[in-house]
Amino acid sequence: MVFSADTLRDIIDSNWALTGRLAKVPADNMKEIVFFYAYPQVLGNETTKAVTIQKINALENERVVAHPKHNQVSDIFEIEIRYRTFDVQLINRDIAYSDLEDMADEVVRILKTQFQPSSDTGAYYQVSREWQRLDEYSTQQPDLRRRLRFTLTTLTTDSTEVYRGFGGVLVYDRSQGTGSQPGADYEYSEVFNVKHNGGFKIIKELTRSSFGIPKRFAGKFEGTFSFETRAKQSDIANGSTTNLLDNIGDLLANDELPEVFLVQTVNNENNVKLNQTTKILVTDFQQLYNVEELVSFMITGDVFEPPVFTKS
Amino acid sequence: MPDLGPDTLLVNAQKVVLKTGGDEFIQLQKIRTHIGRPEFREPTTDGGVQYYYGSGDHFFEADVLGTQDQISNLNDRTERDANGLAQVFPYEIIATAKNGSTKTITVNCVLRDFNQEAEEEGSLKFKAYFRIVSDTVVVS
Repeated sequence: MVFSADTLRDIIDSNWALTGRLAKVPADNMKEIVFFYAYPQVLGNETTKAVTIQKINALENERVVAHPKHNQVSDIFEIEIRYRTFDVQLINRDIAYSDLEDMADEVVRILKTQFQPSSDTGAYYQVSREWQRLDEYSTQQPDLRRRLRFTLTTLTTDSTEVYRGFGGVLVYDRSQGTGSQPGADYEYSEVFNVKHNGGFKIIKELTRSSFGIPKRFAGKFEGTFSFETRAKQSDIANGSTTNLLDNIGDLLANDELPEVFLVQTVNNENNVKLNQTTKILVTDFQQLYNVEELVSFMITGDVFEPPVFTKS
Repeated sequence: MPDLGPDTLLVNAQKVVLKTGGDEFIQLQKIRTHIGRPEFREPTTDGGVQYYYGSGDHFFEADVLGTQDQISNLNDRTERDANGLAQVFPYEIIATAKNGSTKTITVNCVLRDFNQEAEEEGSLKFKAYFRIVSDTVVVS
């Protein structure tokens, strides 16, 4: 998951969408464009508008907090935005500050599209951004500088095959369930803490053939599946299809519960996704309206068949 | 006076076994033995009651996990002979106490009922009723 300052520089450069004075390519009547660097600028020979990315630690030498069975690994970058004011006139200073904020917003926008923990594909469970102001006003053309300390944190193990609990996706599979189906498979985008347990019950019988050690007979399959989700307006009271949380446990016209097929997908460092398809009948729907928390819903269902695992 | 039922002679339920002709029903789970006689109660005009007792009405019931071989073996024992009489076989119910001593009830029985139960899950089970055909049982 680690990558160099050059890589992040390229990501920001290629996604830079500002135009006019803050474009990355020359336009009419414009001489100074925004440059992107992955190394410090030479003192006294700086470009006037620049985004400079530096990595505090060497590649493969991230900040690591090692635990017995996992490591908490952080990649730390410093992204400096530099904008040299044309002069000290108020109007130009206003323009400079406005441009500087636009550059900062653009950097954050790009970082969010690539590294947001809530992203389905995000490999990081924690991302932090902290700003510092390093302006220098002692010259005729004050340098406005903002430094963003950008930290990406993930969990790893010695094996790249281990699956991550974060960055997973839970999808309602419309093709197999019963009830009123939505037009397409439906992703519960705010899901967290998905849990499943299940197995075949064992009936034990004691006979005289061995003292205290019972004979074993496999019985019925039993299991429970549950997931929590932040209460999202699209997920509830938004129609009559079975995928919606207020309908998922309702009886059908034949007075039976709908069979619900859910596909949970998680990823690992090798980018080999694990898909678990679980068939449930929803038996419980909790609503948690706790003060000082985001409203959460919890769905629990009875698993009626062993889940199916595939990799993709 | 010695105690009746000392701890050393307690018997673990699993140490009660059923044999026939020296062969043990190793899948035996439960055995319930009944030793008793029919009772006749005759009230009299003086207010008292006279009790009379008949010949032995003894039996035992056994629950055994079902195995293929015993389906036929036990079924054979329910059949009558050429004269229309039920077949009688010898059985031994042996209890081993904590101190290792054994006590054996020896009986001759007719297998009157042989039920086979396969429920929703678990094992096939045999539930058998053995009629003890003698007036008394032998305990040794």
